[in-house]
Amino acid sequence: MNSELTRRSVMTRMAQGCLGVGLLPSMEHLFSGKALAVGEGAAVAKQAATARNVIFLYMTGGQSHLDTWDPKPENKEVAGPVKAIKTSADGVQISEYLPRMAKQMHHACVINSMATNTAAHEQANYFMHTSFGLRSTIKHPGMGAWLSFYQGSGNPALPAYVYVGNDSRHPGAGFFAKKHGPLMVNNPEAGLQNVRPQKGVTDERFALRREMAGALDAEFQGKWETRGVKAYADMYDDAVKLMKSEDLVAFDLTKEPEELRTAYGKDTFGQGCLLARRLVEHGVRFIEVSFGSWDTHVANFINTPRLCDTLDTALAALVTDLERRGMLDSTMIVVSSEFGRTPKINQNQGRDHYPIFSSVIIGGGIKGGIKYGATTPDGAGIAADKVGPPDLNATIGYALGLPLDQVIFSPSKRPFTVADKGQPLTHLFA
Amino acid sequence: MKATLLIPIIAVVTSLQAAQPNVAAASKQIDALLAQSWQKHKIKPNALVDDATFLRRAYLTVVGRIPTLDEAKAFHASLAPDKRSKLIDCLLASDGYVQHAFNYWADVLRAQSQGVGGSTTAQQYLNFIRESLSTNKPWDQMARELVSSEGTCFDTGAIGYYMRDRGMPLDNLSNTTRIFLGTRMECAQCHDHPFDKWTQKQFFEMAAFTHNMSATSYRSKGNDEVQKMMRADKSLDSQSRDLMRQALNEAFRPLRDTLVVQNKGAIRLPHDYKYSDAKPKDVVQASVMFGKPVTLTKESNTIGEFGQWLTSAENPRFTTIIANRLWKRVFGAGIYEQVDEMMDNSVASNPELMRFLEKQMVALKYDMKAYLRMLLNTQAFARESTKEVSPGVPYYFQGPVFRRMTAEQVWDSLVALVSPDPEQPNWSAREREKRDLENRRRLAQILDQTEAPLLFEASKAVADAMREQNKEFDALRKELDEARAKDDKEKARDIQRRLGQSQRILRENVSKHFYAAAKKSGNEKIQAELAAVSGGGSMDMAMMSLMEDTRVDAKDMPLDPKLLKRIQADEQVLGIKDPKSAKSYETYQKTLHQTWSRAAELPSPAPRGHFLREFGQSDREIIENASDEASVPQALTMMNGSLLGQITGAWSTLSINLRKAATNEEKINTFFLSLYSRPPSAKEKAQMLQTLESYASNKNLWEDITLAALSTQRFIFVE
Repeated sequence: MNSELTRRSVMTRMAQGCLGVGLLPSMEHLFSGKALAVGEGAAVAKQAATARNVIFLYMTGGQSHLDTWDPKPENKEVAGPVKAIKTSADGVQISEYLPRMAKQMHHACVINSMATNTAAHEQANYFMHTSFGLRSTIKHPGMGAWLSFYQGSGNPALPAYVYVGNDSRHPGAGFFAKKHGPLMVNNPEAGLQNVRPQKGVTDERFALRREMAGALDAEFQGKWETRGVKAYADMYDDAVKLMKSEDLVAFDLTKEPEELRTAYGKDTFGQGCLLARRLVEHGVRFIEVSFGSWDTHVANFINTPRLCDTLDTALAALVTDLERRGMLDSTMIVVSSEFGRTPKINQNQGRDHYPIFSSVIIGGGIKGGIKYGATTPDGAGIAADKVGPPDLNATIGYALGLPLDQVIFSPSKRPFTVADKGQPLTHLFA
Repeated sequence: MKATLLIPIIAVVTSLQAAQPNVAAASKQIDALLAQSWQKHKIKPNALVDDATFLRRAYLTVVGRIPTLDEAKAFHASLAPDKRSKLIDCLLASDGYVQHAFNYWADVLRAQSQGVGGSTTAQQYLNFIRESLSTNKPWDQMARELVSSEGTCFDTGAIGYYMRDRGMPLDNLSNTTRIFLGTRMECAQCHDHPFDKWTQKQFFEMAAFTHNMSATSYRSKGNDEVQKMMRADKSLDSQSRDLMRQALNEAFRPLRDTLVVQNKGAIRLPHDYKYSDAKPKDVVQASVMFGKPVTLTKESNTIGEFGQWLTSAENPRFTTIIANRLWKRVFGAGIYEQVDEMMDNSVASNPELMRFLEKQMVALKYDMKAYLRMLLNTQAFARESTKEVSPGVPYYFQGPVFRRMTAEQVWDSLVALVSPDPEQPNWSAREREKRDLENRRRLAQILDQTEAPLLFEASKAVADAMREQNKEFDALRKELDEARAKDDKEKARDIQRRLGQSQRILRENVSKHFYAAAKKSGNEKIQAELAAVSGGGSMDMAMMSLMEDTRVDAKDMPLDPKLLKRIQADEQVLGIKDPKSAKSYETYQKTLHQTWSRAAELPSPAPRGHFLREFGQSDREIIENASDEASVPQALTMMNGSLLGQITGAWSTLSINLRKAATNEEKINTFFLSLYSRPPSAKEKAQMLQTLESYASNKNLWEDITLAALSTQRFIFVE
């Protein structure tokens, strides 16, 4: 803790003194380690936010764009057995593997010209999540951490940022304080871990433990009244509060009608999407749900339709559900992957890694029923309007009202901006 | 497996050398230099601590966990006047020292069990750190081996240092100057350093030493030759070539990321270089950033020269950094802060002391244990902690700094409450690594020495087999479409399962045909290797065992006679009589190491969601990335986590010890010694007796008391 604090205090001086960079109130929060009340010190957005929340659906492993959002029906060699189908948006065709989404495309903006700079999973995954290259000297924050850093939590009782999935390499808080990192949920149906006492531990026993802990610790806490010890005392109080909190219900999927749970798909991803909607309702503002593996080197035309079925079910249910609740305008859904897959079908009926892919944005102020950018007819190159991961993240940041040109210094004194100078696609907003 | 520390403590007076006289003198000198500094700054040192505080602090500082009940009892019972320095000797000599130091260096060196750099190299890298600490390898030698090793991971695990940063040679250099020279250069990767004096050109001159260290796939002459033969053979169509390549890749796949070689290439400035002292894309010559210049000739081993310069006692920062790092390990703050961010204008809070420590480090020939022994024997280490040290304000070491335990210290302390032998190695993991390493080594030898035409033939045979196989798969796919059209889910699932076998079938074919190829080789060595491999199973599949990961069953762990004795004694205490219960208690003890091993014995880092990660263990993605910040999930884990049930379960060491205690008073004593390393105060004892009486009807009272104690800050902060 000491070393971090020193770095931060040095940082603050440096940033204020040497570089003439002002600190936002919520930044000082980071550097001083002092807690601010929620909302206090929130950044003044450079542009009016169009969305309050983001649900980021991450397709782990490299989704085949050619068999999902960018079919090439006129080119049999590239398309393989996959057909394209018409959708509810004029001029927007998607793969036959996504029939439910075809009815929702009037809400969606498909970006067919996504291009990344590597076709290696780890690097591309990191780049998509952070807008920065993977380096072994620093870890950059994910988009939810930037949101938490600038604007705090939407509900003080709940985390600002939740990740539903099991990628242990998720960049999380990056160089920000750990609290800006996502709360990790492996299994959406299991809810929050450890919020209930163990079986057999009655309220009386739980109270007895708290009381005894107090007695055993009283003298020690009196003698060692340090910031660290106080933080722990507060933390236990907060934890007990959370155990009794009504907001815990946000994690309880059994509160949803069985019909709706089935509509989302009774699998981890579908239930993760449903959990995301519940969390948004309770004030959590950035939720990522990951799903895969889309790494179809082998038997692409067997695995991709299976994966698409799960995605199609959950995504269409989420869009419908949000729309019905009037939440689609304030909530942006983003579907993306680390890269796409080769136009060439390999000897194992698979597709290999390819640095071109597609992303989809729905809601949160984006224009629906449109396509942006295009790949060449053979699927090998970008025909128009190339979009990189930083641009996609800048578009998300723009929608959330994050200050895209605000320079932030990491504890190692390196300057960074959210989305690393990516250009937001402002013309795609309604 | 070493016995617990109880026996050595009692026997130590005769069996271990007393602290060397020069150590005692050096420790005194440190105290004198500190006293001068207190006088100069008009401050008073902190009071001296009692035995119990010293005991707990010494264990946590040196072996990284709280003492066990037996260890605490032995220390408190000892009347030897020099029992503290005996304890220090004993702790430094224990396996616990290695495990605790391992956590630190694994953080600094970002050593991971999984991730970039195939798992064989990753494991060997971890083992290199473990063994270096275990043999107390001098730091300069260890550092030199890390930065200048090349070859395969079968030669040395030190190549993991470059494998870790594979494809990122510039970041690797920034890490090198930070770790070994405490100097931050990462800013200068892209432009002149804004806060320090380093220019971008200097950065590239330094990188010229290391950028040629290339982590690659396993290189084999045979493989290259087969590729050549494939290109030359015009009778092959492109599909056959693809299939043959796939076969060859599959055979060599287990050997990927096992080699680091030193290339010979020039390094150039970036295309957007913007300073006037050179032009973009200019070739840069290697040149050191400070200290004695290094002259390279065509014959020079560049990386060897670099290693010599880096770790020389004449290097202006190498000695300072390690002396300061280890000082911080003991006292909680560096004489220079930050320990890895030194600049020309950095000021030591006690320059005379710093100089003295540097001299000692050199005189001790970078023997880290001897250096630590000197620090631990100072009076300064035996003083009360200072509550908080303000960042940016020099600290004069009136005592160590009050700290939260690291995640590893918390976990390892819990292990000491559960396991009868906390330092027990993770037998299953070590055994698995050993077998995997041996298998990979053997595979490498066989593939290296089998003649290229034989490998070509094998690849072709696999390709032919797979072509036939693919026909079958194509037919299956058609059936699948039909099944889907008819909505026959069961059939569809069955076909999918069969299609899902394709990788396994490929591996089996590779194993079969490459084994046959090796068998035909005229090389005698190979025949000997093959004979050793085939062991029991089917000959066809012999290669398969070399290519796949080994499985080890924890229950196969051989029982150490000492542990067996202990188990039998426990069974008496627990009242286990029937053979079935005895067997299951034995199995419990044998498999305990899988869960309740010390952090250093678990995967590095522990998987996300593990207790260790929750409490801030570094992800080992970037240097020293651990955290001691409080969080709500930590409190929830301590209060409601299912794992804690095993600390209070009937078979934990703590529970057995409580059971052994006959009276309530004895139980209270056992409890305080086990959790807090000291007997209860009179007040605490009275309170506890009162509690035991009031809640006599609560059958789980000791469980409640234990969980209460674990959630105290007294447990997780180091006084």
